[in-house]
Amino acid sequence: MTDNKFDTSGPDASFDIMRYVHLVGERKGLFVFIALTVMFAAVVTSYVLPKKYEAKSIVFIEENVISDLVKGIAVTPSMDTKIKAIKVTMLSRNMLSKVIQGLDLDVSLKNKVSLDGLIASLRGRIRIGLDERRGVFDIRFADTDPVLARDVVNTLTRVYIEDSVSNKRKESFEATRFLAEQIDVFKKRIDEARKNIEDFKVASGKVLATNEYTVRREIERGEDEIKAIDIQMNSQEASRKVLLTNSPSRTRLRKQEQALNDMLARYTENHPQVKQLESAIAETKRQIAHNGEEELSLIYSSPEYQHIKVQIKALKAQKKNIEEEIAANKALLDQLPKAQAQLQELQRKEQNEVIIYEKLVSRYGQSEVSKEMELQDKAVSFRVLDPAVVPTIPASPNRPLIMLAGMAAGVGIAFGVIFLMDLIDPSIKNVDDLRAFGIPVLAVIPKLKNVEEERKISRRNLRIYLIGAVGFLIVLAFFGTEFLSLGIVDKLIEKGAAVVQQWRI
Amino acid sequence: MSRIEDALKKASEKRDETRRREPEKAAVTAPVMEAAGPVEKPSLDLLPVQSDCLDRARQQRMLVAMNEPVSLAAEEFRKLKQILVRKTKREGFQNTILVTSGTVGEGKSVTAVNLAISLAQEFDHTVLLVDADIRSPSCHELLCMENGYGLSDCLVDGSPISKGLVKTGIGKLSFLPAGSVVPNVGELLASKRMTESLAEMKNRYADRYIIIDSPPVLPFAESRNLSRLADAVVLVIKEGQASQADLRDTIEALQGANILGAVYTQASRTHRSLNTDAYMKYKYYHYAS
Repeated sequence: MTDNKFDTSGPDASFDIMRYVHLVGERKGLFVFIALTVMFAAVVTSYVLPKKYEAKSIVFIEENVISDLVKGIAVTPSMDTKIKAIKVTMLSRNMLSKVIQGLDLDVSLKNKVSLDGLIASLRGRIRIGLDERRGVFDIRFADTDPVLARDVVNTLTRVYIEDSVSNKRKESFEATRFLAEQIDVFKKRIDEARKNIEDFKVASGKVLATNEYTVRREIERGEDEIKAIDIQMNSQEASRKVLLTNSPSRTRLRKQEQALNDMLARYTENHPQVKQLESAIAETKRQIAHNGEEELSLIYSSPEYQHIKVQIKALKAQKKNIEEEIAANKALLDQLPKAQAQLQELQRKEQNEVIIYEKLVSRYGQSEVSKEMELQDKAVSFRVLDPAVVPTIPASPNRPLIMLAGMAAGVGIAFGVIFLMDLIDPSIKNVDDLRAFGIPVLAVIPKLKNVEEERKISRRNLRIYLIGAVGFLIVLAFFGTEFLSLGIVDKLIEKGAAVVQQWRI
Repeated sequence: MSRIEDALKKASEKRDETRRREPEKAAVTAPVMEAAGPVEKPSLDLLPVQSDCLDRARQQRMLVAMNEPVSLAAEEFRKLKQILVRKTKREGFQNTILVTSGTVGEGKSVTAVNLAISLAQEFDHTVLLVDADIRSPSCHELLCMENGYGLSDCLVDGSPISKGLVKTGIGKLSFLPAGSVVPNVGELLASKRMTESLAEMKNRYADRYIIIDSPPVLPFAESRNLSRLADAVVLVIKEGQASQADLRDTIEALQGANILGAVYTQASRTHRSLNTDAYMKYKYYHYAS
């Protein structure tokens, strides 16, 4: 059992914490001293720091009813972008310069460098808070001079609002002007496109005017007609042939041959009548051979033959006409798709131009409305909800906060110092240190009680606790008065200063 | 009862007178008292005197081994004693134990006295407590005794040690006070006579433990010699007192001595081995009284 404590392992975390608590307990005097010193230092600091007054104005970004009504017609910049732009614009050099000029802050300045410094200082001290949800932004500025603080805020607000309104108007005008220019341009382009279409239509009007179906029908009809003409021509040709074969000698020859055939049926070839007839036929043939041409020319000059001949000629001419027509129609059919495609292309071009043009025209109308809105201040406008007033209560130093921080820091630093002292202290502080030397620890003897000394210590502890408590209560009292902003201490300081001044005089 | 009390009172008055006379009479009375040697003849005679010491010692808060046997500290001394007994009996009987420390005020004397008392309370051992810290003796104060004729006187006179022995009445505990302050302490304790005396003390009784309270190691030379004469050395280390470098130097200075171990004193309550309050409440392993 006794040996158990020699092989204890390393200290665990809770053990360590207890050790530090104990450490503080051992050096509570120092702890209280440091903590109280820091706390009082914080209290004093909070009173010594110069007072700064913060002026604040709240600006409402007003969206007019009209802007809802003209939604989609008039174009107004979105709330989002506006709010984002506010901060950047407000802290711009231009804006701040205007404020400085407006408030004559540059009177005491000597050169440009210090103006830059002044601008930088203003920029650093102006706080702009945005509340997008409520559409409100606030401008704050802190200075030792409450009046200056108010003036800076109000001037900045005014300058910004004026500037932004005039800017928006300018923008609106610019937009309208631009649209007008573009409309002109597109108008010209549309005209050109239309002219192109007209030209094309004129150039290939016949092709375009044809109806494919009708043309095909016409071709078919022509072909039918040609067939009919062919038939007519054939019949005319036949009748012409008939006319030619119907000359008197040929007719006689045919009759003779017919009679010969009849006779041959009844008689032999040697029958005189047959012989006679045969010689008559031969005669006729000879006549035909001899007088054929005459007979033919007789036929040719006959009115029937002439009539037939004229008719054939007429039919041929008709056929030729029809054939030409068919050829022309076929050519048309070939040209038609290309011409149509070309026309469509031209029309599409024109259509595009028209669409853009129409859009531009409608936008132009919107921008006209927007411009009117801006001109009449009917669009978004800024309304100063709360103009800055001269602040009466200083915003800084935040005494309660400083004191609170002082309290925390006091405890922290005191603990830190004690912890550090323990860290630096080379003495043997626990049994584990001994083990490092390889010496077995035979016994760990706690502090022996000494009634008298303990009484002394407890008396001293009591004193320390008392001092600590009283000191802390005093700090708390300061904290309380400042937290409730009773202003008692300030009055006391003022009175004290007055008394000192009187006494000096 | 009242009569006995009266008697005790008278006896104590008488003892005080003798005490007051003692310095001049020491040379004469001491042999009568102690030179008789191991036979404890004068014990009857001295009993009232010692009981008076005892009474006062009973009020001595530092003697936890005796006065607060249930306390944590007493328990620790008991553990220390057990370890020592076990260790010293392992190889022969090494009965001379030197209690020392690196720097001043680490609790050597308190440890030595309490250890002695703790040992003496056992039936098996007689104990001799020697206050070798002649420069600033303190064991007698703890035991509520006078620093009468003691070690330094014996060594100077050349008389036997037994002449300075005082019975404390606490168990079988005898005490050898430091004696009067002499200028050459270092030489005295390093002398051959000291060596001889110590050898004699050691060998006189086979079962006697000799606890030597000594001056700190670092500022003085005595303990370095004594540590080599003693069989075992117990190093007393107070929490937050000596630096690690001091301890290293101490160990180096005690080279050649048999350092049994360390007693860690004034430990804060954060030590795990001391977090036994719950047990103490139940007096769970309380056996001393």
